[in-house]
Amino acid sequence: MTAVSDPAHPARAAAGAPPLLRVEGLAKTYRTPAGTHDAVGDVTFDVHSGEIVSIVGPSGAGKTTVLRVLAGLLAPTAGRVLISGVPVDGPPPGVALVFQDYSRSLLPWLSVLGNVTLPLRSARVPKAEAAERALRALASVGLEGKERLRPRELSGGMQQRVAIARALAYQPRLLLMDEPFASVDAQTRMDLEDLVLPLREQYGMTIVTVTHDIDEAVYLSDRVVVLSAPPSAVAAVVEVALPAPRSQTTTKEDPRFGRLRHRVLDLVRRPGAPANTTDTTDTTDAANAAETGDFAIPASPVTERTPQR
Amino acid sequence: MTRRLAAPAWQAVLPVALVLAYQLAASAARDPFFPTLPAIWRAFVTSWTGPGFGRDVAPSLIDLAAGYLLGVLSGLAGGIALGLARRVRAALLPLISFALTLPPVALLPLFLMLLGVGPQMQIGVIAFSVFFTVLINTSEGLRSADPALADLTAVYRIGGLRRLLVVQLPAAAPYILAAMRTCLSIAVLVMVVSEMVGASQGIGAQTLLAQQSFAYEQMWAGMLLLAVLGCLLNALFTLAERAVLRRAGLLPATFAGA
Amino acid sequence: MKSVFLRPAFAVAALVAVLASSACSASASGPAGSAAETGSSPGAAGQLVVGVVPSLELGLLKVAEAKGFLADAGVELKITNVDSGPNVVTGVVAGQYDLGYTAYAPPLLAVAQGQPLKLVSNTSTVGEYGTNGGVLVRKDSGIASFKDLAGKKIGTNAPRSLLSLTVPASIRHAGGDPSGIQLVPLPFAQIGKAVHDGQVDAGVILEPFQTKALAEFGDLVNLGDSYRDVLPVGSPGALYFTSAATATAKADTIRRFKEALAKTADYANAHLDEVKAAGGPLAGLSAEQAAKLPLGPFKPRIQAGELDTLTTLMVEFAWLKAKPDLSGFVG
Repeated sequence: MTAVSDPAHPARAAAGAPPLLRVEGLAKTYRTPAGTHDAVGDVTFDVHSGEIVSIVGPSGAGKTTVLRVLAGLLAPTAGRVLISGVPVDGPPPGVALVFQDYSRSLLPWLSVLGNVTLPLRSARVPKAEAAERALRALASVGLEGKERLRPRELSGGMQQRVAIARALAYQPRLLLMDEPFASVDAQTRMDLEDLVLPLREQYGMTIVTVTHDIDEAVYLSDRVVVLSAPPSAVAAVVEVALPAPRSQTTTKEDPRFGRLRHRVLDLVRRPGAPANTTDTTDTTDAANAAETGDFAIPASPVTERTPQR
Repeated sequence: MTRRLAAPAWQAVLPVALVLAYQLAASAARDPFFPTLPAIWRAFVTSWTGPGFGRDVAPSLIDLAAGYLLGVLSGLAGGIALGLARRVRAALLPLISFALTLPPVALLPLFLMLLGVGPQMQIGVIAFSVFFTVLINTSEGLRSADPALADLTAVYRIGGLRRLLVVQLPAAAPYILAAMRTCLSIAVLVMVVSEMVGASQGIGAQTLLAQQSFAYEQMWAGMLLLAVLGCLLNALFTLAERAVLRRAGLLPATFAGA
Repeated sequence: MKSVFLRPAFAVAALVAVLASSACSASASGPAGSAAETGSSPGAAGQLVVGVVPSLELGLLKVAEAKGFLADAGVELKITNVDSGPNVVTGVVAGQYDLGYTAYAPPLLAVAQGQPLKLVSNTSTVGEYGTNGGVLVRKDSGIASFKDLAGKKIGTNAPRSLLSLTVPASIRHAGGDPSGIQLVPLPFAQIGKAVHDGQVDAGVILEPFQTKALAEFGDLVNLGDSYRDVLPVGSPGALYFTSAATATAKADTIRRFKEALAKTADYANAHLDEVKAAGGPLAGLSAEQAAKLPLGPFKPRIQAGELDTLTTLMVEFAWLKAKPDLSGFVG
């Protein structure tokens, strides 16, 4: 068990609210014909209601494994996941997942509207209400008037927006995203990033996203959970106290953004190395002392890894 | 691109060449077993059009439709059950593989005993010939679906009939339709052969009668009707299949199983 | 790109294969019998290959062997069982068999369609006690005579077997209207059960199936022998025949076979029990069953006119459009 700082957001920790999501000592070992593979060693962190938290880490750090366990798609080998205090032992209600590969997660035989309303209809939302929620969600991702089209008639970025709209219309307590913007071009990626931020305000959702893009993690998140190389543990939790509203231009030009980016990148490349920059200058809470008091060093030896692309 | 053009070209050239070759050979040989095309065509018109259509062709087609639909629907139902229940499938697979190898035509006497004389026997044999292929391909189609779809339905808690009808069956549609297409041709053959026992009307019964009467041009007319029927049904099915799959944004599958 | 037309082609090929056992083999010879003329006939010198539909009177051949009539004539027979008369004809036309043995309907139909077949020898004739077949009905069916079969569904072994001709003829003979009957082809082995189960109202049957069916299903009764009902005593019953080509290519062997058979017939007519004893096993009958069955006297030579009753019936029941010219066949 690594010593991890209490990651609770100071304001919320002060309010004494229990975390929406609690991950305790999560471990996952895969059995393969070639032997066992310890993908996740020991991962512990909390996410509070309303937060956006990114999970980053070197390649093969089991980021997606962690997310699949959170979604209840995968049973952990050890440890547990609690959502609103309830242990997860299967896909819990009120949790949506935006899959990495939109081309496989959208049903080509359904219209855009059919794809977005499918989970709602399954949750016995009346037809008219489901359609109304779906159309609102589609409008909020900029897809007005596209509801009658088939997914294949849309560009990749638009298809991923449909997948996001499906998750939004579902009105989840917790929105999980698995490298949601990995399959789209750079411009679309920025558009989608800027789409997510106001949506959080609009829908009041808690978001956990897995990404290999450090810029994206820092740009979107309130906190970044950095995983070590496998068997992965939480190498650090970095608070991102950048002001809202964030924007691709002003936020990314902010020197604090650069420092955070640098630090997370260092952590990803050498999860054991002490960070050479400090940040979160605007947080002064006691809880934050733990954060600045710094990053846990995993028990296992840390090997130099090639940075992600 | 060239392959695309070549296939229909061959589809047209080869049959035309064969037909021409046959006509040349038949008129040269003057063998009663090889009647000329005009003779076959005359027999075709007298046997299968007019009253012959109502007496023989229509009952055959009705049996074909009933047996085919029965086989497809029961195969679908069984295939769904097997595709969703992994253990049952594992337990029954050897039995099904065995059943797939049974030629329905060889089982005609058994069906005659079980179902008796009458259209129900023909319908039963046709349904049998369709059932196992549709069964195995439906369960295979369900099982081989993209795991991403299972994740999707799990996360969004899409279950029961909605999951089956809206997600799983459409995903398995290429398999199921390919099996149905293959079975259509088999069903036409089984229909004709099954009518050679225990039936006094129908395309098969008339063709058997022609063979026993040494009326070869009528026998050939029977085979011609079978060929026309098979080609027509297959072509129509293929067009419908492609249209359905294109609308669903899927690609036709190659035939699996069997 | 998958061919739209491939699958049906397979289906047609399969049907051709189904029919191959019968008609298609005729293709082997091309214009009837040319293969035999070139000397590629199936039997060796003095040997004749005979395709037969198994029956009690095949005992005649066994007697011919046992009494040395065949050996004296220098003829050796190779006997092959065939499932139906039409297939015997097809085998003979194709040169697969030198001789065929069956009842008269298939060869007469083939002759009418232009196949040059030759009668080698008649065998039995319709005797006082008929042949060895009957028509089964259920006792509770209300069918008491052939007349009552009008409009009924009747199981028969093949649509163009002689029995399928004599049954409607019997109905007409008894004063009924045969036009409404429905003949359903069924294997002999299943006819008893089909009648018992009510799937057909009546069933045409031959021994040994008749005895078995009557023993198995107590509710069945034999209505009578339609054959005997329609055809006068002494009518030709079955025959050995060959193709024109084989008749030429093996003229001498066939002539010697004919003579040996005539001698055997003389002997057999005086010893019908010996024929039954020898033929019983061939027809799947026990010695006891065989001994009880009627077997008409053998009469090797017949005149074309003696087939007139049959060909008239064939025309009357629309099997043929016109009576065939049998001069080449019998002559």
